[in-house]
Amino acid sequence: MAKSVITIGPYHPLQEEPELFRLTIEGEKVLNIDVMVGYNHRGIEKLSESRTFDQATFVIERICGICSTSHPFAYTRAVEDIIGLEVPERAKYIRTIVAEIERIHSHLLWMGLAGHFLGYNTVYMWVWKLREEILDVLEALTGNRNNYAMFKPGGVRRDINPDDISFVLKKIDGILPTIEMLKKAILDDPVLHARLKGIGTFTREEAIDYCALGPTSRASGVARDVRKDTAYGAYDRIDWDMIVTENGDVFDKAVIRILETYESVKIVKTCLQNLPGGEIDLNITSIPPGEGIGAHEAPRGETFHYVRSDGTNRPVRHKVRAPTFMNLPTLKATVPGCTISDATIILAAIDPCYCCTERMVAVRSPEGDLLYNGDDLVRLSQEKTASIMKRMGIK
Amino acid sequence: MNANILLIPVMLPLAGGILCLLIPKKVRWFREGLSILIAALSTITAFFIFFREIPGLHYNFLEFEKFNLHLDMVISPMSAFILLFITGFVFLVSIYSLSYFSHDNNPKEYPAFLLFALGGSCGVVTADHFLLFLIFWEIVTVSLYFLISTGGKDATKGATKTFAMLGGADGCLLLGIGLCWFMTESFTISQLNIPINGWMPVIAFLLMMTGAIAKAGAMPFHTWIPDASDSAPPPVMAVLPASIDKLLGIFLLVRISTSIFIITPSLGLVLMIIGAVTIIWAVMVAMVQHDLRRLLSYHAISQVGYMFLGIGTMNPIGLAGALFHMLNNSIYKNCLFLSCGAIKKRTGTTNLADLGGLAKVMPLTFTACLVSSLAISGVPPFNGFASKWLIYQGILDTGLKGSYIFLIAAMFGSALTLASFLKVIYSVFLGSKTRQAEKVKKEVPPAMAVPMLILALLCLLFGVWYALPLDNMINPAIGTSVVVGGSWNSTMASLLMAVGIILGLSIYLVGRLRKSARFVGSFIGGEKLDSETGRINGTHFYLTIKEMPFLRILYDFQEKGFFDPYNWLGKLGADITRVLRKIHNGMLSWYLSWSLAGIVILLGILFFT
Amino acid sequence: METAKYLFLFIIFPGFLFTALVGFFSVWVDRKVTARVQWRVGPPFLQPLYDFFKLLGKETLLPKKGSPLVFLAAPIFSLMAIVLVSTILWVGIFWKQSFIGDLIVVVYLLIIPSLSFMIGAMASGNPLATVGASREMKLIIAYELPFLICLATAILKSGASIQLAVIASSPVIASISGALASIVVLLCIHAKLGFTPFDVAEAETEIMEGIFIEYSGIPLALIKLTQAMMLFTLPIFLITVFLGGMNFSGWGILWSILKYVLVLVLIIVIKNTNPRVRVDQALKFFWLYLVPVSIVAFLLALLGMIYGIAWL
Repeated sequence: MAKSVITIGPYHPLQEEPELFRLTIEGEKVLNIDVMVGYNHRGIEKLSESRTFDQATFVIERICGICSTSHPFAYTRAVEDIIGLEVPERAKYIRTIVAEIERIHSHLLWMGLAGHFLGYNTVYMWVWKLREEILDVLEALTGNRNNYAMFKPGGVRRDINPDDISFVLKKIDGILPTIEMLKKAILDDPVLHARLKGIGTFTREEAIDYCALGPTSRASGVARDVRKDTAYGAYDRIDWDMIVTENGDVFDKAVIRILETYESVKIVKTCLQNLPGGEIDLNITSIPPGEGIGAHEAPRGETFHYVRSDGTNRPVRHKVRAPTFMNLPTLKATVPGCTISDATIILAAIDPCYCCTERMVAVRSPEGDLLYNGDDLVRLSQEKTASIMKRMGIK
Repeated sequence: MNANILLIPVMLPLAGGILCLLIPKKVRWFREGLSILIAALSTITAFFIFFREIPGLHYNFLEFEKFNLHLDMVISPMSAFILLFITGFVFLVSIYSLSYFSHDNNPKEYPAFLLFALGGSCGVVTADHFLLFLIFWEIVTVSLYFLISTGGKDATKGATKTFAMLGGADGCLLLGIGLCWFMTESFTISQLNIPINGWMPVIAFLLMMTGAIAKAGAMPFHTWIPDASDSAPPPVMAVLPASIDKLLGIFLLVRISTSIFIITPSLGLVLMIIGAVTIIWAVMVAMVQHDLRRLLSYHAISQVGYMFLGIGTMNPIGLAGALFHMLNNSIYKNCLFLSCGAIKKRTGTTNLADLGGLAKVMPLTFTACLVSSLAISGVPPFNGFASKWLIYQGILDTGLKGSYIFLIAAMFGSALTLASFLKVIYSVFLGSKTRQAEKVKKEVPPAMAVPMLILALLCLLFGVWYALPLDNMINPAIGTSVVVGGSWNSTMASLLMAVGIILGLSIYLVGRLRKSARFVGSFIGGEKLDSETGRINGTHFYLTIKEMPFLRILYDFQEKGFFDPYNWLGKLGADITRVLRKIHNGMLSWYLSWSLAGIVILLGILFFT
Repeated sequence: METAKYLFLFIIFPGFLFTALVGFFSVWVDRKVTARVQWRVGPPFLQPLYDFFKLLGKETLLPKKGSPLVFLAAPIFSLMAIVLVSTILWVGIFWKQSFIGDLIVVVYLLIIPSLSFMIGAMASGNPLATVGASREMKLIIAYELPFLICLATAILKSGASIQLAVIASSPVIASISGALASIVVLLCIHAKLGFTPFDVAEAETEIMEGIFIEYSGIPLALIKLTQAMMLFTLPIFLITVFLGGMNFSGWGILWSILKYVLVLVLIIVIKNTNPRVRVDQALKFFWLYLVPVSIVAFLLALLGMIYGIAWL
């Protein structure tokens, strides 16, 4: 039978960012999925090269709005890896606190979006109302709801005011009952069970094959978490659990994210109550030549940054690898064979953040690989503008 | 008027058919012109017969003790309007065929056998002598065989199956007629009135019912229609299996149920069960077909179920509904097959997966097809709804507590019919064009378009003013006037619908549609979608239903031909003859010894008695 | 004179204008209650009317690939059909006389709006719209079966009459079978209105509004109007057939309005407490769960009729 191809994207209510998914369908069943990226590329890595190490942090946290702490965390760890120094204790605790509060807000955002994609707008609105409390906390602590500018190579930029701690603790305790109610409502709903259980099952072998990260792989039983595997921040000083489940379907991914929210709350409370005193910044003045790597467990998985320095005050090369980059190919294993409706929820279940992902696009043409430099790109865009003007009849 | 006028629609086409056979192949126009002329004359005659009182015709042919063969013909109100429509349909189809068959693909026998079929059908509805009836009935069957064969070499299989099944059913009919003669010693149809008491009338009824079922194409003897449609030319399918065969089959069924026999409620129940099963089963098979012709033939089978339901109710409303539905079905089925033929002519294929986007290039075909699709689905105010509505009331009037199940089956069947035809409309006319559809540049010629549009117009007319055919054709046929319990004021409804359409149009005017409209490409998220892969295949529409747990098994069996009596009998026949084949081993000595043994036994019997 | 009276009935009351206004009111109630449930404020009272007139002034985009004529004609047909249904139902309820059609006519006329939406979607030349149209058709096949069985129950209970005036005067719900049938028909109406959990045809986050994706400007205004009218007409249908119609004398007015509000509130509650289901899950739900319930209801009604027990 002739195949039909429909697209999800680039502009689609399913996605917050533009991405193109081509689904080959037969009736309601999806036979194949193809991803075409490239809509979000902003040249961050190149931008880092024209900023100092400290200025680059501001650019880097704007790679993503939702996981906007993960990238600076990994970047500063990479820079500190070049130097070979450890940041002060207080700085570690503050970094952990901000990162975990961000994880709460990110998981709540995902829950709301999952509800929205399933057509369950009530859950969507309620969860996002809850999320507002967390954003208030972030604003109190850092001054902004997103893009906190708390991190810098060597420590953190601002301190936590002791008066704020009780406010934050009160707010965080306040959201717990609502999360409990939402947990029961979501996990016990029979229609949600019908929609989510057994959908997009991702086996353990596939998770290891595809190098999946974050809740996507932890749902399939792969017990990996950078916070447990590496000792950084305050994670090794606090007692918390890594959530792993066995089934690998969308329902498990939802369960993991809900349970991780509880763990994050635990970590934040413990950190706030045991905040050590001391310096918050190493006051680094120069970065020696060398290369360093840094990783952080973002809400979506492991974020990995690589920085190379040659002794000047700018990075020579900065490479970013976001977790969604590894999680996107897993769609090839989970989507084919299910219906269009399932495909949309599986797409949402990997918690994609495409603007984190877009780093470089390689175009394969029959004549060989094309590589464009800056002048080429300018020339291409001028040609396109000219052709659009001609088509619209503008002189 | 002279009774001899009854001979004209019967004998004239038969004579014309013989003439057509004798004309050499080259002189095509003469053959086709002759067929059109004769069909036109028959139609005019039928009009006369319909509007005037015609006495019966009686000629004695031969008498042999109690056995006789008279040329008896009589016209009753029911046969009058059926005669009108038979001749009218053949007339329209003969005009259509003028354009359909191109110069090089022009079967020589087609006009001849079309005329034979016309004459035979007219004979069937006017004959008053059972044997005469049977002769004309057979003429129709034989002409159908040849007409299907005009589709080329591949048509032979379908034609053979048709002939086998119809022939077998006609054999049952013959047996039934024989039993009737045995019971009443009369062949005159209008004088028979046999009460069902005892097993012989029941057997006779069932045998004759088999003949009617096979001709009309209800289950379980329906399987010849889809196989015939695979390669027969669409005009052939339009004129015979879709319309005239149904008219004849239901005509026979009505006669045997109301006048020849007086059926008991239990036999009525049998008819209703057959009807309900046919409706649902056939439409579910139709929904998943890929070929337009097979799809249309399964729908033809499904619609016959409604007629059976109506007749089985045994009350005037149901009967009126059944007759009206028989009429309406032949109109819109005819139109659908003719538009199928138009599509085939322009694109060369009837495979739904290869068609698309023809609405702009073939607007007339699209209109006719859309109107008939809505009519067959029973959408008000078209004629399909009016007749179905009458049948529903007939079902409710039976007073049987279980009759609701038939009502539900019938109404659900029309929802499924709608689903199926939506798929057809999408796959053929809407949606984007396939490479094959790109070749179509213009509409079909007027000779093909005009018959389709006339039939579509009739669909609308008979729906909006359904009192017209009801009072003038159906009610006289039954003899009583129907009293309806529900209400359907279709003229007023159509008027209000027209007002509603005007309201909608005026909203368009208020918003100044003309100034503010502009054409853009489709929005699927911002990227361009190429036309070849970016179209949805219409045949995929109902895969979800096909894959439902219980239904998947049934569809599987259906495709393998499990439910086809032709296959069962074929297997049975093969099994029986396998045993006998062993005895025929080809050796002369073996046969001689058998013959010798037989002669000895015969001599023995003769000797000792 | 008859014609003039019929025209008045059709255009002013209870036809086009009345249905449109009450329909817009029902849409406002729906949006306001939904917003409150979601901790939002919700739109002002005249918002649906504002939306309609705003859409009238917007640009209409016609598809290049599809069939623009059919595309534009479809909303008109759906509007016409729903106005006709509303008129028939209201004349049956208000003046208690049969007008133009009976129950079977209404059931068939109610197919026309969904049918026009589907044909319009298929004519828009957009593959996502076609997916939406096929889903809508499958949904119709799904809910039509239990719907018909429950209607048979209602007809049985009202003395085997299909006249709306007769059915409206017998409260079918006051019996076990009637109650079961009413619940099933409520769910079927929910599917017909295209509300969650059965809004697979216009699944916003899956196929981007599905059957309505290409509509804009004036045709979209007509579609919104049709949907508003359906939100009014279908609960009235439920009330007529199952809940004993409306009584417009004395305290009856209050009770009738209460019935309508109750049905509306039930629909809104179901809409807000459920996610969307897949189309095959909807098929299974209607055929494997609701059909047995409807059959049970029908058998109970049958038993009640045979043995003369009214509350079965």
